[in-house]
Amino acid sequence: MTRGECREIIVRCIKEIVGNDDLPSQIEDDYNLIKAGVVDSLKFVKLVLLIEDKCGIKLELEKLSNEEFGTVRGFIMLLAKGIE
Amino acid sequence: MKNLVQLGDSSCCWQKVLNDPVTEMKKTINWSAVYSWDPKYSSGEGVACYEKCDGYCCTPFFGDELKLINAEPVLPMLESEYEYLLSIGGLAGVTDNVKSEVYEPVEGAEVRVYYAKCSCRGLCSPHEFRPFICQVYPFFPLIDAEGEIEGFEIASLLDMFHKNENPCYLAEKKSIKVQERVRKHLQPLIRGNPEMIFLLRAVRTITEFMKRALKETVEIRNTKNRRKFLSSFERKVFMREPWRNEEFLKRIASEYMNAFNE
Repeated sequence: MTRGECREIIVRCIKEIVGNDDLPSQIEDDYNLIKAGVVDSLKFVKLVLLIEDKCGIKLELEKLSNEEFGTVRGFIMLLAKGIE
Repeated sequence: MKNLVQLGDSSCCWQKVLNDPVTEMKKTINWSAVYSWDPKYSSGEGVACYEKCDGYCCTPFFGDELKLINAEPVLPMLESEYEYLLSIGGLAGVTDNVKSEVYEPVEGAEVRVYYAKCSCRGLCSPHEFRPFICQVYPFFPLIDAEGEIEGFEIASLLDMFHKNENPCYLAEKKSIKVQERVRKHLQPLIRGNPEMIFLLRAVRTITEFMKRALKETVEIRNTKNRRKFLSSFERKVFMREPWRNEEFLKRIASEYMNAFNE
C-alpha cells in the first residue's frame, strides 16, 4: 500500500467518526484532531479501532512522539509501518 | 462505548429487578443524605487545608504539562447525582459544562455517567454542593462486595502514583482523621444500597486496573521524571487502555450483578 493509499484510508475513517461538518475542507498531514477539538477520548479510541478493523493491523500508538500523536501524519506513519 | 457482556439467563433476573418500582426506589442513592454534610477541613493550624497546598485538589493537576487529557478537572458522576444537583438548582461552573457516556455493564442495563468539566478552581458555590468525588477527596472508600468499608485508596487517579509526598495536606498529615469522618458519614449510606455499592466497587475496579497498567510511580518534584510519567499516564487514560479488555468488562459485569441482583 502506498503512502497515498494509507492517507486515503485514514481520511475516510476520520470523516466517518468525526463527520464532514466538523472538519476542514482540506485535511493536511499536520492536522491534529485532538488539538483541533474534533475528537475526545471516546471518539479517538473509536477512530483507532476503526482503522485497525479496516486494515487488519494493530496501530502502535506508543511509538509516536507527543507532537505526532493525534495527527494525520502520525496515523499514516503507523499504518504504513503496520502493513510493511 | 457499549460494553456488552453476555450473561445468559442471569440478565433476565436483572431485568425483573429493574422493573420493580419498590426495588427501583431502594436501589437509588439518597443523594440528599450524601450531601447532608459539609466536610470543611482545617489544617489544625488556624487555616483551612487548601491554604497549605494552594488549593491543589481544585486546580488542574500539572495542567500545562498534559497534552491529551483535559487540563481542567473533570468530575465524573452518576446520572442520579447529576439529576440531584440539577434539582437543587445546579452548581455553576460544574453542571453547566457536562458530557455523558452510556455504559452497558450487562445486557439491557444502561449506566449513564456524566463528566462535568469544572472551571471553579475551588470556588464552587454553594461549596457544600460540590460533587461526591470532591466531597470524599483525598480518599476514596474501598468497600467489600457487601458494602462494608475495608479501607481507603488515595484519590485521584493521578494521586495514586505519587512516590513520596502527596501535595494534598490532608492526605499527608490528616489521613486517619479524614478517613474516620468519611467512614462515619458514608458507611450507613452504602450498606444495603445497590447503586452505591456498584458505584464504589466499579471505581475500585477502575483504579485497580489503572494500577496494573501503570506500574511506575512519580516523584513530582523531579521535572524530568514527572514529564515522562505524565506522558505515559495521559496516553493510557486517553486511550482507555487499562479498561479496554475482556477481564475488566467481566469484572464490572460481575460487580453490577452482585450489587443489584440480590
